[in-house]
Amino acid sequence: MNGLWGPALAWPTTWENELRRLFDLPLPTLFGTARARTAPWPPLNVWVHEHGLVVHVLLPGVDADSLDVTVQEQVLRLSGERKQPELPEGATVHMSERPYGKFVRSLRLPFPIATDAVKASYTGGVLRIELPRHEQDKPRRIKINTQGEGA
Amino acid sequence: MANQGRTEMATTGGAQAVTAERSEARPVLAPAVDVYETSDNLYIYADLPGVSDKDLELTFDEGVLTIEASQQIETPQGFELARAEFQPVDFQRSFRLREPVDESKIDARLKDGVLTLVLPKAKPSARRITVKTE
Repeated sequence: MNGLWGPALAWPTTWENELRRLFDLPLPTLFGTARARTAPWPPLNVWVHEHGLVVHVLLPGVDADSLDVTVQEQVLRLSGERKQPELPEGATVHMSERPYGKFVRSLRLPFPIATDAVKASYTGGVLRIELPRHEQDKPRRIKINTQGEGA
Repeated sequence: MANQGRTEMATTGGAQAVTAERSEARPVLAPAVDVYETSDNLYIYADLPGVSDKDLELTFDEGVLTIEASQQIETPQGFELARAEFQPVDFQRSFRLREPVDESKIDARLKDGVLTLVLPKAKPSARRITVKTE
């Protein structure tokens, strides 16, 4: 498996977290404060196979309509918004640890993707994205143009 | 760090922390929560992604509310993990409620990996004592 793309399974990533309110706040009960400041949100796991990728994203409490998943030029881009629940009238806030706001994450993928076959589902606060590998490795017949004989 | 239970921080008014226990099998994580309070209710929102209702247990015992849950995220067969920013965990967190609540009316909902709890405060039972005269 490793031989396919070798040890250079590097994942050049470009984080464009537009809003990282959570990580600007100290969160002593969640992770360490230092880690919380640097960890991108939402957290994701990437599973790889020679035929494609599966990405799992922990995204509790997000309106699925706000989620946007695109694949372009071997970059997976994920964006959406998590809204705060409506506060009951006259409520006092005792704890506020859950992150809210807009988020964007981009991930460079190790191979081209068959973008038409990408599937995404959202259940139980987990977003699952299936990214089949593009069939580019298949041998392709190249048509040879011939000059018209009369030319 | 992630594999030890956390002692929760105390808060004002509504909820105060109790200790969480260790789990041998999986890391135990305290879920992120929001806690609101009104004059009538206490509201707790907890992030529990990858948890379904059958893997969630809520207990209320002597003023201590405990959330226990097990995250279930399937491993794609034949795939290798190439980037890991989270690992499956057990969630656990307890809250000591400083005010009595009406246990029979606690409302719990789980939707899209978020647990919403509404705990109605117990109405103080004011009783008038009549004084008998001889």
